[in-house]
Amino acid sequence: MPNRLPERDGEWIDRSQSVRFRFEGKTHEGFAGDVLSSALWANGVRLLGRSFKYHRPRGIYSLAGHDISSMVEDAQRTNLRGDLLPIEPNLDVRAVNTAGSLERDWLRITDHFGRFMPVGFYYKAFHTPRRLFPLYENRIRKIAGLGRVNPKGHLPPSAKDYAFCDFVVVGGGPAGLAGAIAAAEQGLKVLLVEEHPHLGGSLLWQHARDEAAREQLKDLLSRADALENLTIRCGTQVAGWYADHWLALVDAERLTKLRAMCTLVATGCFEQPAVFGNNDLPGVMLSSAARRLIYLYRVRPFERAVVLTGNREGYGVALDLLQAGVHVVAVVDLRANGEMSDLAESVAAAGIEIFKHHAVYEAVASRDKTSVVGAILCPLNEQGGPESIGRVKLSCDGIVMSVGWTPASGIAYQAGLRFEYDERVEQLIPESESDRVFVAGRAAGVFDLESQMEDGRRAGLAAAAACGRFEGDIPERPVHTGPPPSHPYPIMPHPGKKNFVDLDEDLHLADFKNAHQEGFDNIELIKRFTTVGMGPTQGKLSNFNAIRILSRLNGATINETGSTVSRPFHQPVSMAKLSGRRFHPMRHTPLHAQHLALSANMIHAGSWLRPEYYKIDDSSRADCILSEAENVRSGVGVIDLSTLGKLHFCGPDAARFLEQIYTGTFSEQRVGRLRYALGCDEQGIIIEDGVVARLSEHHFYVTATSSGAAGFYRDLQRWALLFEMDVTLVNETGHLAAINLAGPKAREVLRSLSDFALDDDAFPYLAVRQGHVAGAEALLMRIGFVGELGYEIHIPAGTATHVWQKLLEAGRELEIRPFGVEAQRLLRLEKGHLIVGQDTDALTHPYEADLGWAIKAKKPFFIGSRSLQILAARPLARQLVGLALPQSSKVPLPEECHLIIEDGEIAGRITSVAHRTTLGQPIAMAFVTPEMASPGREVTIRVAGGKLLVATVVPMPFYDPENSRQKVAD
Amino acid sequence: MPETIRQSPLHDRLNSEPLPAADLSAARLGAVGICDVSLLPKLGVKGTGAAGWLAEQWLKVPEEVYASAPLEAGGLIVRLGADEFLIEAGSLDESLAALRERMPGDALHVAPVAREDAGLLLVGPRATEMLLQTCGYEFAKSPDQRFVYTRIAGVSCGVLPQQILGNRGYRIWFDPSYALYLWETLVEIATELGGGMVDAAGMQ
Repeated sequence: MPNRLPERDGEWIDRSQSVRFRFEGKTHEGFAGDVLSSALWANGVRLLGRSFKYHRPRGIYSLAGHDISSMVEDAQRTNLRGDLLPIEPNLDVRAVNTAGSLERDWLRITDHFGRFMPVGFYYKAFHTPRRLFPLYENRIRKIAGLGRVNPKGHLPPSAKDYAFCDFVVVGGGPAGLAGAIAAAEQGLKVLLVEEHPHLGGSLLWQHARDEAAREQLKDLLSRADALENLTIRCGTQVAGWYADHWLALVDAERLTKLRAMCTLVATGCFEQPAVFGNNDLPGVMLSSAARRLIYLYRVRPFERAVVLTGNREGYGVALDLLQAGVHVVAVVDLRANGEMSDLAESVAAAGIEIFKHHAVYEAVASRDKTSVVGAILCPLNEQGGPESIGRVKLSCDGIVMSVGWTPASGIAYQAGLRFEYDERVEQLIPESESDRVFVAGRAAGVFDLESQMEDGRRAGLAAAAACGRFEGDIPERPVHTGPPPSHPYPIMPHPGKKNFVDLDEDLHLADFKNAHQEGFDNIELIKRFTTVGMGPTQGKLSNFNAIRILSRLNGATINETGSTVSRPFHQPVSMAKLSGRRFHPMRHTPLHAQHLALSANMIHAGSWLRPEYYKIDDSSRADCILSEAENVRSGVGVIDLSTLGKLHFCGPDAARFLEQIYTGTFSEQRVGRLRYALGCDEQGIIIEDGVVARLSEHHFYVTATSSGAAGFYRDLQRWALLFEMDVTLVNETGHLAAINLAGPKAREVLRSLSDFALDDDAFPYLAVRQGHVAGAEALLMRIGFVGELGYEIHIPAGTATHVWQKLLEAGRELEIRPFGVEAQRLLRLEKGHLIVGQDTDALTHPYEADLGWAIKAKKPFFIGSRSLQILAARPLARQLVGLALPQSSKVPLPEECHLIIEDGEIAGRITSVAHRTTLGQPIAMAFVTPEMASPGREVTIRVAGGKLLVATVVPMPFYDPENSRQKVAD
Repeated sequence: MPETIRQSPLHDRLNSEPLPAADLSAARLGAVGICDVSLLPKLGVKGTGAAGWLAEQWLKVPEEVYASAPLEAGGLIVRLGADEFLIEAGSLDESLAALRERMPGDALHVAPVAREDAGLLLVGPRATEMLLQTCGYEFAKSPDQRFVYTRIAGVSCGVLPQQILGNRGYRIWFDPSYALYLWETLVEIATELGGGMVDAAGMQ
């Protein structure tokens, strides 16, 4: 590790743990605590990646998580940022977006064609001819882009969790630490979130030479450590702020949804680059990156460096470099008067040449263009632009940029704060704070170290006051004094070289001028046209320079130009974190294990798992289903109906309430009897159907559709409140099981297990009785959804297995068999019973579905009554009819939703179909126009493959039109 | 007449693997243990006359909504709403059956509610941590014996924080049709936390 510096207090690396890793097929060595970029730089590797569009070589730039051109991938993961990725044994990565290898990437040829690819050329060049667009798209996606997702990769699901606190502090620098401590000292439950592995923020690198600052950090950490109500999470990013003070925290293991009463944004600033020729070469880096290398990872950034500055910090950086053994060739100051402080004197005293009112005009590239070999300086004219005379070329292998900052304000923006440009600091600062969201430190334009901590304390006390834990005076925010820490326009036009504004998207200065010339003179428009700020860093290093450029092009101020909107996520979040552990609640009936034991093929029905059919040896699915149906028709079958909605309506107004909910009448319903119930919405659309059983004068038991029960019950509760009725509603859907015993031999099976009188007089069709079945408390309803003698047995869920087993046992000699959902669908179709949601849609009203008989229009009111009155007066647009399908045809039979065609137009659709039935005749239910609804009318169905099949309208039900099977007496 | 056999909604799931040995249960309880108590008899009482009727039965009716109170004979009563109560027996005896028998048959102002809820106990020092992975409610601020309606792993649940075996534990009730799903989900998380299923005997 030729560039590794000697050990120093505060370094992040653990020299006792040597780590070997592989990059681009070569083995390197670093220390635990290194990130990939720092370890490679320590080993003299400067080519870390290629750029997005031109495949230009890139190295360390920010070393703060914004170096998207040094992204890598391994066998499982992609788009890992080298400046954040910790090295570990067995790490084996290669750069993303290269063809061949990083060094020999043959797509680097695109850099030579840059002049032919101005911003927006995609939009102009590739939309014609249209047929070639897929080819263009495919090629462009392969040339420009990031990493590739490995579809075979598998990462274990990461956990998600919730957390709660009074006060969350985002950023563990001086302001954040001071704010967290101040709030915690007032008794708030505080969570301090720091994205880096260690607390300290800028104290760790910006003030690292300052012994007093180091002591202050130790003091802050010690005080924080002593506070039990202050929790610290390092290595955790705040990815977004959402309404009601929800924040998304992301660490290596999980995504946390944090609910905080108050938020302090103490996120500091993003250092901003200068714009000059070749300002993206490996070796050109931000001063904060150089300082991080020196103090956190103990890596010497360069041998010979030129420092370009527009503020006081540049001089401090020069001294830091000097101390790290770097030969600082020159400090190039953009300001006419240079730096007046003691730092400038120290720099001069060290023999470093200072070029005032000069700029770096161009970074000189090595022959292979993968490193810096020099810097061309130019004097500046009165407007701050480059002079063409008086240029100087200096030999160096590194150029450090220290020209200014922009606040890391994404979270604050998302929390609803607004920022304005302040010329005292030449950056955006918050216009104001809300009563629960605060900004402190450099993010608020406070740069002096003491002032940052003072500002943090102010915010901490303000949060304590907002939470009712502090009643004293809240101090004012400190005001910045002295020269601004940022230069107002660190941008040097260079007509001959690419001078990058956005390294994410490979956008250079000329792109903005071209876009502006084309009329994109608004910040939001120019963002969309150039894609500035739309790369992986979301413009953290480019947006503000883009605003400066556009302001100058428009002759407007920064505030007049405005800025773009910040949306979550503030930092990239992996899809694995977002998906996390999956919660997909699945409902099982109490008989689930019984179905599995009987070889059921289970299917999803809404949130439920239900038996589709029961497999029999080698029989096909269709054979199994038909066999189950035939067994019901000829003997006895049993089906699990536990998914049915099961509701109780109790109280003095129960009957009246039912009459307002459903279209029928129930006040006169006799105790012990059943009635069909049809529910509509206010538009008269069918939304529910079921059976109402009157158990006593004031007690009704009602079944509802499996898929609609939960929503229907919610609606019922709302209506009960609105109608102001004395009715008690109870939803026992999951608490009761239901089993339908159906078939001509059903009574015989039941007789041996129940204490009911089952003869026709005592228990007629459409009656309800309460008693016991197999010893279990049970409610029985005699109904015939499948068109046979049938008893719905409703029992407590805990007894379902026992009753089910007893039924099968009792019916063994009668060859009882379970039947599944598909057999039930077939049987009810033969009987002409519709299923709400399958044979009806979001526009179906009762008259279309031949359910007009279920509407008791003389009632004073029920939900949908007014709409149904109107619909009744209108001619029907369609009708639900039965269709007889040909028994043998070369044309395939239709499936559900196949269309009915008349004169080349759509005239209807199939809602239910059965190819094999107990009738020996394929049948269907379909919507057709009223003109086509007469029995005997032939209709044409467009089936699979576009072929046409002729079917005949027939009366429904297809089976037992006299209903004699359901009413069969003992 | 054959005798009725009640089963927990987790009956088949729990029978598919042996109960953990006492030492394993103890180890799991050192993190978070999950125990099925679905078979404890339960009864719901709902209606405008529910509170009055329960008082007539000499039960100590909680006055505030979401408050709970122990029953003299063991078990507890929870006020789920102004007019709704949940009673859970403390053992598998049939004491609630008698109460159910005494309920008015007309359901005019007092209606019986079948409560076949799945019931789980979450016990151990990491129980709250497990809930934080599945539930957006801040239980740390919720006092013991104060009932909470919330969603756990997407399932609507009623939760009663309690002191169990010297730690904050949770008694959870929910629709039994979700029992298998929620059990699998919670056991997976508990296992990651060093816990898992425990036998009810291990709770003694």
